[in-house]
Amino acid sequence: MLVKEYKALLQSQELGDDTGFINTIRGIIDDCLLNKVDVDDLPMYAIDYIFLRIRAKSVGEMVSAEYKCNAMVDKLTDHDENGVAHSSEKKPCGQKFIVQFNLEDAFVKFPEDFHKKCVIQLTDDIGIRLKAPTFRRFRSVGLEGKGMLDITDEYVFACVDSIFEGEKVITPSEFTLDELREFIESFPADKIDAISEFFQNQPKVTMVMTLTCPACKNQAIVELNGLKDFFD
Amino acid sequence: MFANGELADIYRTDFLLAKEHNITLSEINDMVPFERMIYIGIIIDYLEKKQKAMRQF
Repeated sequence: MLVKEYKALLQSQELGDDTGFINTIRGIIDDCLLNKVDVDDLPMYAIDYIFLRIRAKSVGEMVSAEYKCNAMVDKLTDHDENGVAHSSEKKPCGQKFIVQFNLEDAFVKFPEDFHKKCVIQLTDDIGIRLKAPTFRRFRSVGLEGKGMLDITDEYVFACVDSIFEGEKVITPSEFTLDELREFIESFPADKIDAISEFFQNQPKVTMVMTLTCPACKNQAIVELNGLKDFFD
Repeated sequence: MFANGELADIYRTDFLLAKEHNITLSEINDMVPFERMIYIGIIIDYLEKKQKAMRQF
């Protein structure tokens, strides 16, 4: 990643331009992989992970961040005229301190049995195979000017790898969004729940840190999930 | 956590690098960010030594 690309990334972040931000990341990865890999075909969690590694190598592995301790501690109240406290109450510690962490410690966390949950069996021989959305599919969903239901349907469509019946396999290029919608509407409630669970538990870039507050000595376990957490 | 006020600092520093140290903005933009930080470190070191020498003189 070059300085100009890093600047473009910071600019889109400061502007709150999510589309620009994700397209900048895509461009950076494409350049760094020397156009040898089709970035559009990579799943989103791989894009996030590759970007974090590129960022670590070109800007630096160590990142500083300010953390505010939220642990509930006893704070003395009701001071008399001599400044002596007579009672205490539980209040958030509120101590701010700088933490340093290594971006190389980030990893992709796959939900338990992710590969089994990809396949949703409707009957003994009919089922649907889901996959984490690729960058191309993710971008094609487009959020502007669309209702929540449309986005949900399109997102599901983006994540369908195939539908199978016995040995016959149908890929998304062979059916339309409306046909898929009709197909999914015929699912029993427990299968819809299984699909929802698949979407709620996507693999994501994660980093777990144990922080100790210098004031109250409380230990907090902080987990960053997804690229957005790293940039907030 | 990556970018709190970082962009403004980058522009300010790049302006000084271009104006005072004869590095063009294009050259800076084509550096890898850690490379830019190395140059900034070298320049700070150079300025400190220069300032020290001037004081002794």
